[in-house]
Parts: sequence; structure tokens; C-alpha cells
Amino acid sequence: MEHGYRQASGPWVIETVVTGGEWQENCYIVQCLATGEQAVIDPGDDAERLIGLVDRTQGPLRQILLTHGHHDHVSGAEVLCRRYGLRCLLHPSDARILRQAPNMALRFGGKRMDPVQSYSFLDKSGVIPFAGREIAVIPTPGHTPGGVCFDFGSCAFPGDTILYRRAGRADLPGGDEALLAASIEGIMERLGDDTVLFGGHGRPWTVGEAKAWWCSQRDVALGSH
Amino acid sequence: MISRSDALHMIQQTLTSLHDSGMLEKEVTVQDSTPLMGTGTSLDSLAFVNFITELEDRLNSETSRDNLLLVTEVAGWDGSCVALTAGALAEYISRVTS
Repeated sequence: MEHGYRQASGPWVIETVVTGGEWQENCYIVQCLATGEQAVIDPGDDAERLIGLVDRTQGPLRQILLTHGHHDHVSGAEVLCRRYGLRCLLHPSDARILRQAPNMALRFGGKRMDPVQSYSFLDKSGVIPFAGREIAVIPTPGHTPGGVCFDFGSCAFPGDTILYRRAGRADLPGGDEALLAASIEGIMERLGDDTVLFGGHGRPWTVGEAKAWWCSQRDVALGSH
Repeated sequence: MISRSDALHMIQQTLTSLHDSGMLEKEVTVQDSTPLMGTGTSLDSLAFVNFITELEDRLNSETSRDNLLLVTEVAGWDGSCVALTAGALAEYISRVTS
């Protein structure tokens, strides 16, 4: 079994698993060091491989979280949900995009994917219970209407809202460039400079690094798609 | 229910709208055999997902209900090739809205 790249971040161990072919999206397996409980974020593809990694780690899988509903971040979700008897969580504003994901998978990736049916919506509390803690959910519309960033404290998962030295694209259905810019700025205002951002594609970087880049490249970044 | 000919008309309206918005470079005149996906199509991947979204909006407005168009459920789509014609999509729309 091919392992992902594991690194510690505060009370968590983050395993980065690059899934899929063309899109090379990041799936993350977050494990609590204290309890062993696990969460999977954005199971984009290669569900059987992800199951192997989750089972190898032996802690119970408690949450399957979706930063947004695009096919390259959800294609493996249904298989995982069925395997572990869970429902994945996403923002209600991305329900339509999630339902349309098989069309995008076919047209963008030439792949057939199972529609994701085992899902529930994030509630309005703005937090998710996980491993005895509360994970904050930051709404980040712009890349999609219901995009969110999961804030684990020492690290955060912004999906495709902001990637390493790149803003997410806003030209897909439901995208909005002004909202995307506001969401990126919201992430930077809300999170500490040392927080590590694990994006939907590419390598991680800190909020401090992202702020410096954003200040100098904001207009270029938003116009690059 | 949306008839097959009404569905073809909606497909035409949607493609015209995409052309008017600049998303489609060429104007498309819809026939049964017009390719929407696969060899010969005028729709790139971005145009295609926007096309499906706008077509769903039109269907929802027309039928006053929430419709989902899944290309993988179009009759005759066997997964061995990525292709879709306007006629096949119209047939599918007629079926799912009946």
C-alpha cells in the first residue's frame, strides 16, 4: 500500500494523500494524537487506498468532511461512507454541486463516479465535535457557494479557496470572484500566522506566508484564471 | 412532463444563452445529432458544466420542481466513450420529467 506523507501539527497527525490522476487533489487523514480518532477530509478518489490507510492507523474514523462539493474532492466519499457507516458533512449551499459531481467527473476527468448519497449538512453551530474538541467551520464561498475551511487550531483545511501561492478559481458554476477574495481575507483575519493551511491541491504553507503573498499578489491572483 | 421537442428547444435556448454570454464562441443550431460532449462538440469542459447547470435551472422553472440531470444516466451511455448528443439528452429529459 502506498502511504501518504505524515506530519505532526499540534495535537494532530496529518497524513496527506494525493489522490486521482489529472487533478492530483489532496485528501487528508487527520488523527488525534491523544485519542487515535480519525477524520478524513476531501476523499477525492482512490477510496480503497484511503480505506487501507485509515484501517492501518487503527483509530476509529469519526468524521468524513467535505470542504466543497467538486468531483475531485468527493469521488471517494460514498465508498468511505458505506464502509464506515458514516455520512459525510458539507455546507448546504454545495448540495447542488455535490449532486452534479458525476457530470463534472465525466466531463473534466473522463471518469465515472458514484453519486454521493450518504451526506448530511453542516449545522448552524459553526463547529464540529471531533476527538473531544470542537473544530470550527469557516464559511468560504467563492470557489463554490458552500465552500468551507475546517479550522483545527494548529492547522486548517481551506479546500480550493486558497492554494499554495494561488487563489482558487471562481469561474465554475456557483463561483464568485468577489466572494472568493472576501473569503481568503476572512481566513487570514481569523487564523493565526502560525496556522498551517493544507489546501486542496499543492503543498501546505502557513497563514503568515499566505498573507505576505496575498498582499503583493492579490490582483494578479484573482485575474489569473 | 417535458416533451422531447420541448427539451430540444430548451437545449437550444441554453446554448444560445451561453453563446450570448460569451462562453460559447460559436453559435450552435441544435439537431438530434448535435454533439454536446465528445468528438465534434463546441462545448469545452467549463461550458459543458455551465450548460447543464443552466439547463437544470430552466427545467426547474418550467416544472416547478428540483430536477437533476446526470449524464451517466442517459439511455445508451455505456461508459465506454464520453459522448452525448442533444437528441439523447432530450430523450432523457423527457423521461426524468414524466
